[in-house]
Amino acid sequence: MSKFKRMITFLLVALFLVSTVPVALAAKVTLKVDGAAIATDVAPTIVGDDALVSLKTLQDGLGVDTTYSASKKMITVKSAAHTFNFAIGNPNYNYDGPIKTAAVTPKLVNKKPVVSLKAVVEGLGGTVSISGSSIEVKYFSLMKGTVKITGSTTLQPIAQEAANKLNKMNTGLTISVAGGGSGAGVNDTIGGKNNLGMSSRALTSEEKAKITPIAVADDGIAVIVHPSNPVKNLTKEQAAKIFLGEITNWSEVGGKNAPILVQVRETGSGTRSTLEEMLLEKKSVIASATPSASSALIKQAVARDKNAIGFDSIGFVDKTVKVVSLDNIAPTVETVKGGSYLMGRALYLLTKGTPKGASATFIDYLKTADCQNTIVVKEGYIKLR
Amino acid sequence: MTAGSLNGPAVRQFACFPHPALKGEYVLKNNTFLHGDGLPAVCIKILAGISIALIIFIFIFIFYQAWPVLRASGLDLLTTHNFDTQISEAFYSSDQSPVLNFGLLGLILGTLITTTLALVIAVAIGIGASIAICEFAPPVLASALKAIIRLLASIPSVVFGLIGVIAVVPYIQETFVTVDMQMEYLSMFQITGKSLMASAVVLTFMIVPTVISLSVDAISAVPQTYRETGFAFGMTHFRVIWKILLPTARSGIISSVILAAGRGIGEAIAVSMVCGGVGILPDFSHGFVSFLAPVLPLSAAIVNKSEAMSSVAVRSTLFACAAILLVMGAFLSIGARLVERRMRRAVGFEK
Repeated sequence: MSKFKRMITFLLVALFLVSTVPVALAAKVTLKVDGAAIATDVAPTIVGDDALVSLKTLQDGLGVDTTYSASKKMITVKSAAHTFNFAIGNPNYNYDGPIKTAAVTPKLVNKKPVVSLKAVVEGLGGTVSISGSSIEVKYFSLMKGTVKITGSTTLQPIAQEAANKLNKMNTGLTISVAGGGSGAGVNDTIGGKNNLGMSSRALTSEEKAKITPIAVADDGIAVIVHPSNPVKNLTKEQAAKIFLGEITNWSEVGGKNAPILVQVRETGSGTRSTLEEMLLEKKSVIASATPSASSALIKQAVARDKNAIGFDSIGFVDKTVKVVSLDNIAPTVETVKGGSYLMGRALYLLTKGTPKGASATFIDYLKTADCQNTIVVKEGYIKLR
Repeated sequence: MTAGSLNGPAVRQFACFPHPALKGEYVLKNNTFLHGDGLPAVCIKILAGISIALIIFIFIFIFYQAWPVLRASGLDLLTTHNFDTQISEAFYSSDQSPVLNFGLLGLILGTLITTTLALVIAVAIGIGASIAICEFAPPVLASALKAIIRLLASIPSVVFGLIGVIAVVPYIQETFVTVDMQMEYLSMFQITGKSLMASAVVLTFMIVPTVISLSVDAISAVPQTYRETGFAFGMTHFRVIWKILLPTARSGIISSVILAAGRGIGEAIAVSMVCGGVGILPDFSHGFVSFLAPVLPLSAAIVNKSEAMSSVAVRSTLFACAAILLVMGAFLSIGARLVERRMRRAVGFEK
């Protein structure tokens, strides 16, 4: 090449290389909550020792509920124990009543509101530390004390997994999870015999006057039969009549000529009351049905008998049983969340009054993206959001 | 436990106690219950008092908790039945207006029939085995068998429940239950392997070791001279057993049967795993199929429904079941003493 062309090429390459340097120097801001990185829809902006983060980041990372009213420019952040009210353009915010001032002012970034991370995290009792372009939040590894949780066997696997994870992350924390059925969970919470209750059915208005339900996951109740049963679909009327004992032979619904052996849960089961409320219109399952004491046992009972029919949470359904669709709608994430499947329900944690300390943090943990993705979905249930 | 020691009459013991004031001299004291002295005696009396108070407290507590249902249902508690529907209504009723009318007849009959069946089989097997161990087995084999029986008697009952679920229930289902039978009786009850028969079989497994070990003790306690007298008269071994040994050991054997009955009535976990859990009224008009129907004995009912116990009505009912069990147990003990007293008079001597 001629000397001139060589010089031009060298200048272009040098310019190109130099231009990448600012890009490399401007490192991405990383946000970690208790050591786990959180994906953010809007990159956090570091301002001194505070940061502005989007509402979805708070939801995913801390398990808080957030609402934004564009017309009033008001942002509400609600955890299990605390409520924050921010306003766009105003550094003052409302923390459970009294007004406090944040180091940074909420604003809109790409039409999405961002608020002070430090105000929220420290209000919840956690810590924020910023070094360079990495933000470290500690909230779920600062738990102490004991939390006793009793109630629904449907929610029990989720609560147990979360408890195992949190117990490992913390010293000086003991979370114990026991079953007993939704009925026991509700009554234990009303009687103050536990810190948190679990329920897989909605509370009656009588019960709601005494305790507060907090939804932590969604679930559907599937009608299950033995895998060798040729019946794939039942209409709502057929399913109701089977559980009420009015249809007694599989041949009446398209199966073999065999008796239908109805399996049910014992009294006090939230799964049973939800089925009776949604499918049987508050009538009771036939008295001669075989009762099983937990979600796992009723699944085993159906898996063992060719002519059995039962019901269980979709989180418990596995290859040992077959799910029957209702009115040709199968219980999947889309149909349950969308409402087209008949028996969708929320799973609740119950507290008496406002939860405090480790109990409140546990509730928040169940609603973080980490728990919802790795525990709720993995166990077969449906994410809350 | 030998037959005589079960209910020994109150005996005045004469004992030697060194009186602290008389060093070196021993005084013969008439040591009745109120006049013993020394710290050990006081401690023992206090402990005895505590045990008695505890038992009385348990009785009072159970009847107190069961009182709402006992008062509301009255005698209907023992004569009507519809336990399953009543329990679900009670659970959903509010605390202000609880549903308190219960009929436990189905449960009571279930308990009595399962225990009686198990007892009949267990007594036949048990007494036969104890005679074989005492009379016919060579000494080495006899002591080995006694040790094995004692081991069986100490196995936790939930293990028998597990054996029931894994072996007995499927066996009954394969051998006796047919699809036609299931269809025919579906309107009344579901026939799976879990049934009256399964509960009776599992209870038999549990009761037989008790019957055997107590009967062995009773039969060994018969003095050797009785046997020799029988042989001296030229009786065959079987006649000696049937006419001399068994009548002599009768009180011990009956005590063993009553103890086994008490265990059978109270057995909760093992039975709850195999009974079927539906509290229908056992009636034998269907013939053999009645043995394949599910049943819910009182103790199994307490186990199965205990998760619903947070409702006041359900808790009261379960305590009512417990009260009935206590009363049954009390009848058994009193019956045992009466029977024994009569036996002793009939045989004609004090052991």
